[in-house]
Amino acid sequence: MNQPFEYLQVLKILPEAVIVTDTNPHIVYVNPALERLTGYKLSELKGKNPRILKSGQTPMRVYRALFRALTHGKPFTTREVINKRKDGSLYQINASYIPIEKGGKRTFYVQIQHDITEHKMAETELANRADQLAKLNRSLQEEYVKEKALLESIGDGVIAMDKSGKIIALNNKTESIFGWKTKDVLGKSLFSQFQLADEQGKIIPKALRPIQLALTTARVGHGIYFLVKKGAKKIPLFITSAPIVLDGAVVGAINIYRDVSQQVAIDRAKDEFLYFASHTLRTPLSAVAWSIERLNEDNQGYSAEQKKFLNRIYDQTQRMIQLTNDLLDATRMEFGVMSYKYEETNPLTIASNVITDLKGRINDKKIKIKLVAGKDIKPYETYSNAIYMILHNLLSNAVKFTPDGGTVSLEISQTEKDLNVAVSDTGVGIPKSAQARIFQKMYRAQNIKDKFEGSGLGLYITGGIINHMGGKIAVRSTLRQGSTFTVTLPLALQVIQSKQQERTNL
Amino acid sequence: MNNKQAKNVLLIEDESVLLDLLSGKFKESGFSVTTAQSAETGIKLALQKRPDLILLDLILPKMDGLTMLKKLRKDEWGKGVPVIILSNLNDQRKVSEAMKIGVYDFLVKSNVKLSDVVKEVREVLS
Repeated sequence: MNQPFEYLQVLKILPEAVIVTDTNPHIVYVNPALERLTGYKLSELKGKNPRILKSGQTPMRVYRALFRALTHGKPFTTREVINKRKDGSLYQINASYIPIEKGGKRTFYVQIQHDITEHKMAETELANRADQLAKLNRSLQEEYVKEKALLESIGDGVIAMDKSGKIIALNNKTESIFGWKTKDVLGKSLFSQFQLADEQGKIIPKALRPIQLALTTARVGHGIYFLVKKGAKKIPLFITSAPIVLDGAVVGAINIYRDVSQQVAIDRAKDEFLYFASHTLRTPLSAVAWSIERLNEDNQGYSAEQKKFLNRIYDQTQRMIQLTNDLLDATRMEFGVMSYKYEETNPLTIASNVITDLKGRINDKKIKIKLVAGKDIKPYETYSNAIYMILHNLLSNAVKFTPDGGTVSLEISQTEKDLNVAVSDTGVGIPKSAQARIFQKMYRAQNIKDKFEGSGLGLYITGGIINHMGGKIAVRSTLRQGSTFTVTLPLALQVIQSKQQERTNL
Repeated sequence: MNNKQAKNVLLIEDESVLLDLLSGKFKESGFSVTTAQSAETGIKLALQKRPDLILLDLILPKMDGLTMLKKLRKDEWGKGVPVIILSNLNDQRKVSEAMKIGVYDFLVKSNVKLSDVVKEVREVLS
């Protein structure tokens, strides 16, 4: 640059990078913006061919076009030039090449470089994003199809709601349970679509509906409710309402509706059967038993044989009553509706109650009863009636299978964890081959089958109750010498509610 | 007991065969007996005659025994009268419910002798 460049001051403060070359072309000037862009100092570039900045990545056609323009004295602008900095890194520029003529003669070329690297990167980023979005969209669609298929394959009604209770999705099963069309209920509030009632038909207020629990407390609510349909029977539904929680906040809920009409009908049939067996079967039995009792009050007028018949009728009625009771207990146990009474229980009190209740038979057979109990037996909370049933069954068996004048002993002890009970007798014993089977339903061992009455349900029920309480029962026996039943019951019960209670608790 | 004024027992039982057996047994045992075959009649007779004790069945034609018992317990006199449940329904839930409302005992018909019932009534009234 032989003559002062008039616009030097302007170039110095210009944010765009500028290179001035002579026609050779050798660099005669670069401004501070170019120094910043390239990392070269003016002193390093002065006199050099601008080729020094070439990266080799710019398409050749760009240079050919540039050359053509400049030889014709025309300015040229391109966005495709990629240059190389001093440190080797690349940058992309929006470059303008302007030939400067003075007196009809070309003197300089001015090159203005605008760094568009970031811009380009942003463009690439944008393109990538668009690509990602497209992929996401595709996978979302796939998910949607999958979820839709999943939703439809569920045998229960499923409704998704936002946090205000507006319906956002539902499946076909929901349509059939409620008799809706999806398009009619989408976007509408769940509460306005149907009412729920309790078993007695009382409408459940909005605040107590399971969905409300999910939406307001973020907890899973469930229970049996009755769907009230106009002009139709109430439908029992087992409803589960689960909140959808996102970043700690409830954003909606999913309700699952299971039509439990069939289960409810089965439960009702079970209740009816139990009612029938306990009330209807026992009423005539009571009448017969009481009538014979009245007859026996004054039986002077009967012959010895008639008295024998009367006793036989009485015994058989008692047997029938016992069978009915066993059948009831076994059925209750199998139905899972055995009702246990949870209360503070003293095992010794129960034991003496059982012995008192068996007094008649014990005295009749002149059996010696021994009660051996640790002094430190403490009352504890358990199913008192279950303890009674266990002790009653084991002791009445012991009395039954022990010949007159024999001995039955009951040992009770307590450890920190368990209640231990052992019932021993000097009875007929249980054959080895039968010992494993005596807890099976209606099994009766060969040696007692014809000599003793029984339903084969007593030990089945006892074993079932012990099992329910998380305990164990075992037997040791020698034929014709006697048997010992040992029972271990944990003091701390896993709470075993009967199904009946579970149902009412829901 | 026979020397004094005979104690009055109200028997509420819908099965006439059973009612007849109970009634006969109690009369023979020296009680004066009032009978009812429904809870409605039962409560009416109870409040009117104020028996010394009520034997109450649970399953009755319209109103059931426990409902009647609840009504009875609301009455000033009915609050205190001893009641023994005598039923063939021995569901533990019913037993607990009855005990909560307040009964002296819960007997299962098929599991007790008539003499046991009389014995227990005597025990309560002694």
